[in-house]
Amino acid sequence: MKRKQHAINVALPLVLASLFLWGCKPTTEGEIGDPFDKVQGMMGTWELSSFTQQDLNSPVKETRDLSAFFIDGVSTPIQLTFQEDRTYNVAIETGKNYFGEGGTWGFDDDLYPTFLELYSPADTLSYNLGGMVREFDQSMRIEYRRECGNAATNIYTFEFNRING
Amino acid sequence: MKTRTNTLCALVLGLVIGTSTSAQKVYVLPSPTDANSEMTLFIDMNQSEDGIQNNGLSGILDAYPDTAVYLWTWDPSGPAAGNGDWDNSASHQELNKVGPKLYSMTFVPTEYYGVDGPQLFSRGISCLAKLRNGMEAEGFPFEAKSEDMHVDIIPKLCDARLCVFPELREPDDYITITYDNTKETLYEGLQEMGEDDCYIYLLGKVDAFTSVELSIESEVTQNPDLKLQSLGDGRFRTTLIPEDLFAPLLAEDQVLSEIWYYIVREGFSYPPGPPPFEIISLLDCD
Repeated sequence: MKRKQHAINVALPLVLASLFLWGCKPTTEGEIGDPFDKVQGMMGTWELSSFTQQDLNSPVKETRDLSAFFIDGVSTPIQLTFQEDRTYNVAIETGKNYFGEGGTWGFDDDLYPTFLELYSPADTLSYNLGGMVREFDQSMRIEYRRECGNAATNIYTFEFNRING
Repeated sequence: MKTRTNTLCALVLGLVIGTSTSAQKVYVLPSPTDANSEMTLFIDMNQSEDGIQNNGLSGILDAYPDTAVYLWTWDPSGPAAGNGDWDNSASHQELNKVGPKLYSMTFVPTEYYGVDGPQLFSRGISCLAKLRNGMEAEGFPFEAKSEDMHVDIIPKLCDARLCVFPELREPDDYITITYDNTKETLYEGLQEMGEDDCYIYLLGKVDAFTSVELSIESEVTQNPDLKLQSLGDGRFRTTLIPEDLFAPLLAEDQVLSEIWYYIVREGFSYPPGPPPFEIISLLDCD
């Protein structure tokens, strides 16, 4: 009986404190608004600003900057242009082309995109998006994650800056 | 003597870790691991649980603690010298007893398994412990073996004369080779290189019988693609995509499986005999 009374003595103040704190929570007013339109976020022209390779099997997940293969200070770095009609163009003067000849583009899910998908007559490419891109964002990250069997090997990360849109 | 001291240190360290902090059934020291240097594999039978896979070794060792225990391993491959038979393990597979129900074996993984670094790191080590005869022992309900065990092997950051980045690579990956000329002890004629002195000979291997070279050794220093860039402090580096570099020399159906290379300096010749090739293995992921 004494034990039961002790439990009540401990629990009751906790319950009352919780109710008190709950009562202090401000009520949400107004509307949260529509989620950002990720398709609109991609519109425009993006220019490569850096290119890195990460070794996923290095003890420290070592990353090497390989930007010099794409950005030499003379040629215009690779540019990707995404149009509203879901076509895209690639302009490349130097470096290996990982983005095809141009064609159509899409996300795996327009509301919650994880992958950027590029369809060209020769190939279908699918890359991870490094983060959500909103209309006012000035940078975009695309990741090319490589695997062999079950072993993840490397991640190539392309960082782009928006140059118009 | 040094090897013996290193092994002893590894064993002592293993005992300390094995009895205090680690609850793993199998682990390796040192970790991160250099695929071409000695490492010690530990099997802690104190962490083993009988009856999971018809295994009963732990109970047998409780009853007969001094019984000889053998390693049976299949990943990254079977041992180059073999496991022996299930009912008669090979003698070289006997484990050292280094503590109560704690066993070890010291070996150079690339030699012991006959695999290269990327194979070791991508597959890890799978093994079990057993008695010489792994069949059911008289008076015990299960087979005289442990359950299957696995340990991932973490590659050590390279601080050698020649280092390759990344650890696992395909023919179309960027591959960076770094050469530390200050660690050049083998060939006096290669020591103290100037900024523009360092070149590399590259041979692309398709299979055991087919290979292509970018330039013959005497013309390497005339090929700017084969020059290593100086990083200062005696270090040199080049980055290449093997598939692209060798593309003009390969037929459409030929895929590179290895790159063989060695350092070249104008005016220097290696002693007679085969040149000191280093090998970069390339994963075939198709």
